[in-house]
Amino acid sequence: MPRYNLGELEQVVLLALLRLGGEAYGAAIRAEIKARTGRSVTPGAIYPTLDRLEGRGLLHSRMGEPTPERGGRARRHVKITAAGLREVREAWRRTSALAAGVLALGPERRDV
Amino acid sequence: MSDAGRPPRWLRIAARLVAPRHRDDVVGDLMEERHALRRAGRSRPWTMAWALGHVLRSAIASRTIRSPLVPAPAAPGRHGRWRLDLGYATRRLLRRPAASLLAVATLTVGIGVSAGVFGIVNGLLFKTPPIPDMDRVVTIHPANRPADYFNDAEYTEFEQLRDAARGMLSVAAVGVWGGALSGAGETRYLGGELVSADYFRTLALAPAAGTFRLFDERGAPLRAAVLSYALWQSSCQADPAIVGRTIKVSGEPLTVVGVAPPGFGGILMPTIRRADLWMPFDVSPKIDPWRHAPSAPRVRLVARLPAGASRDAVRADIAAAGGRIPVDPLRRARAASTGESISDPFTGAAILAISPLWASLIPPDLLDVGLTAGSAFTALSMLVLLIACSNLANVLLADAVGRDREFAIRLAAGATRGHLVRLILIETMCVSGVALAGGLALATVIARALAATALPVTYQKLDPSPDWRVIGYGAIAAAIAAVAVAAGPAFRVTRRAPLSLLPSGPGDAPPRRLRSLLVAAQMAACTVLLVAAGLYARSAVESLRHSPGFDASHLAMARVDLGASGLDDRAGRDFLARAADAAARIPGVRRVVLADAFPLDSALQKASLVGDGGSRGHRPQISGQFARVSRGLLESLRIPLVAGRTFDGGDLDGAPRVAIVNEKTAAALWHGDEAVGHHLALLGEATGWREVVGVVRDTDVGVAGQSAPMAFVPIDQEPATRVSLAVETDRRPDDLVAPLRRTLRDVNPDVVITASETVTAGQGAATLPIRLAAKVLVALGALALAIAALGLYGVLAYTVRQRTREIGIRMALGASSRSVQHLVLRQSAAMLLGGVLPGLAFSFIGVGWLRAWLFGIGPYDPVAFITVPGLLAGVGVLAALRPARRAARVDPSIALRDL
Repeated sequence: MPRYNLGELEQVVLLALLRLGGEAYGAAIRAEIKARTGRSVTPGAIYPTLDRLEGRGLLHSRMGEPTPERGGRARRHVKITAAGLREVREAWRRTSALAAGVLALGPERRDV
Repeated sequence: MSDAGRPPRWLRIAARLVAPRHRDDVVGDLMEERHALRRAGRSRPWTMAWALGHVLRSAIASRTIRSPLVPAPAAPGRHGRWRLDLGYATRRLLRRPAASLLAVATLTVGIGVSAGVFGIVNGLLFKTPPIPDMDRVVTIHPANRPADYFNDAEYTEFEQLRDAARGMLSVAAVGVWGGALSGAGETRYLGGELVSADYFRTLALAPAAGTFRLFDERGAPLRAAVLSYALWQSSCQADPAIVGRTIKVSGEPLTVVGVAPPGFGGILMPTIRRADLWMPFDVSPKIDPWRHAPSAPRVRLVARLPAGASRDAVRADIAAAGGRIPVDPLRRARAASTGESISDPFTGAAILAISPLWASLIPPDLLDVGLTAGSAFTALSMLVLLIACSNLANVLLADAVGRDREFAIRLAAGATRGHLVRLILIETMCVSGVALAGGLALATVIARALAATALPVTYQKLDPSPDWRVIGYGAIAAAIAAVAVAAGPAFRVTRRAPLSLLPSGPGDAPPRRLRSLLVAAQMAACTVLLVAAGLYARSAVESLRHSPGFDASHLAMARVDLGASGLDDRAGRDFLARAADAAARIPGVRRVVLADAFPLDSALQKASLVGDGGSRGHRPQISGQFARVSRGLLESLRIPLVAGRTFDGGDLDGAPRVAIVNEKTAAALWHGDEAVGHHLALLGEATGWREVVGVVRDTDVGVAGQSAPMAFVPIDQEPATRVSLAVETDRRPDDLVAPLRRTLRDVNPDVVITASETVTAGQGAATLPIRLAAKVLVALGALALAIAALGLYGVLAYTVRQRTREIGIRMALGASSRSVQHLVLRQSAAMLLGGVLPGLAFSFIGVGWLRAWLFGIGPYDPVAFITVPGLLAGVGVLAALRPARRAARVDPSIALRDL
């Protein structure tokens, strides 16, 4: 029984990460969220979330090489851990268990 | 693509709103995405607006979304700030390597010299043997005087006390021993201890090899010995097979049973006279001959208190059980031998005292001298550190003026003053930290160099490695130095408003007065050191020029230890006779003489001299010294005879006992009466009255420059175990040292030769401390002078640079280059005077401290007190020369151009 439930944004970030093959960097996660859900998450929200997930051992991160494209800043690559995978599955199981038979997922989009 | 390399300015400024931890990530992402948008055909203003919008949202998100599980390092915490400051300080120091190196070097020298001198003092006075729970180890001694080296009780008293205290306290005894060792490396003369059965157990020592089994189960001594770790290392290459092997001590074969732990050198003045060998009392008649004789050498008593027991309680218990140490029975024995009755209020008193051992490892009189000399030298060496610190403070103060702009900006940007002070402190601590490491290394080198010159008071090479006391001393010195050096700039930063720190043109005055004050302080410290150095240099010269009242310049000698060689009285006499015959045949030898000590030897024996014939049976008694000498010695030393005769061929063993006294003795005992014909007794010698047959002129006795009552007795009538055999020659005595040694070896290869040199060299040892002190102080003084001169030069050069414009104006208004030069010289003179005058005053007050070790001059020696200011004036002129010339060369038209 996990002592801590994934937050909504955390769940979104982890799922986006999984969609990207479990390994990605900040901007790609945002792009994936945007592309899939149309929701525009600002970078200032992504990174504290990544920090928090890393602090709980749900993902690893490492800094890449600085690139001129990013104004001399390095990319931060993150990779989901086994614990992260377990956590996101559990979160999804609970969400779907609650939603089962109550909601029919339609094609409409919802913006934040 | 022009903005590809670096985020545009507006983005950088806006991004400051984002939490610092995420700022770079956010900017990177936005840059990357903005490029993509631009490529996708979005206009520049659109992407700008888009990015700014994201920055604002990110700012809010990054500061509101908390990550409770990650310690938020948004702003560097207390710890992080220190790290940042440390990084900043290091980078700043590394950016100016030359200046930093000079600062570190100055402080290294200061700390190194000071810690080095302290290290020697520490090594001599404070190092304690590696005994577990040292504070529970105590000595037991007579109550009427402090515990004293190896002089606390008779051996028989030890046995009584040990039996009385049985069951309460195990008491061990230790006695001093010196002799020859062969069979472990080369034959050598070394010091050791004779110990009782409980010695090693009382001290709770564990052997480094073998055991400490010196006695058998019934308590009888075995023919066994324990070696010191140092001896084991140096002579046996730490061979563990030494245990069980046989060595020869004073010609007696003994079995090595074990090796003492590293660093242990006994408990009889271990820092000065290391023990290398431990043997049981009574081990053999040759090694410990008089153990059961009435005149057995006295011993020191040690015991280990039970945990928690107080000294007073244990003392009361032992006293109740009948334990006692009668006071000074030796004095009663001596009195009995001359038929004197000496009143002694303590005689027979059944009292004893218990003191901690660590407090009496060094005899009190030696400790007294050592503490005074040690504190004087440590204080003088601290002056070098003081000069180094104030020099460095000066450099930093000048530097702080240059940093005003930086500090003003920092203050304006929200830094607190505390933060700036911390920044300065961290910088100086970096410097002093590096200097501490260097200083300790330097201290070790200095201590090693001083120890290698064989400090004249020690028979042991000092261990120069710094222990915790020296490291602590250095660390405290470094910390104080860091704070002291940082104080000036810190004061400047905290005292002033931020805006006033911004340089505002020529009106902004550097803190010249403070800097001048620091230079004056350096000069004052330098003066004190130089006066001390001058006094000692003069003393050294005087001691070399001084005539001791006898002339040994044509004598070479070899000193033998007959007891240590295993020769008894008869064999010893026989050896001396044959050796004298053989030595007389060495080419160039005019005369062969014997003496157990020369007048300036520290080996000279002390005795109470008692005269006969006082009024109403009163027998005058004075303390003096005596030497056993052969016929011809007084003539060889050119000591003039004042009355009577010298020793002749008739003064043999069995003939009437005779003595020759010096004028001081004659005057003190017989007050102008003709001394010849009177009788003299030497208390401490059990041989009764002897007739005075001659009076000789006074010489220095024991201490150079000081005469004292002295008596000479024929060596034939008063055999000695340690004898110097001297040869008189017309040639250079140095050339006879080696042949004499060879001759003695030829006569008997087993005889231990403890010294072999010219008599002058041996007698020179009396003034060696003065010469050594002179060398050390002159070196310290030269060092101090160099650093202080550098400081003076630095300040002068700096002021000339600062005042270039002022000087330009003066010259434009008609000042000559000469008057400008005088300006600089006047400043130099003012700083010098401001330092030298107080320095002289301090010296005047402080020289009393040094008085005891001066030789041939008074403490207020005018030569030293006049030379030193002269020397400093010369240095002041030299240091001012270059700045003055530079000031004179100021071109008004160039200096005024930037007005």
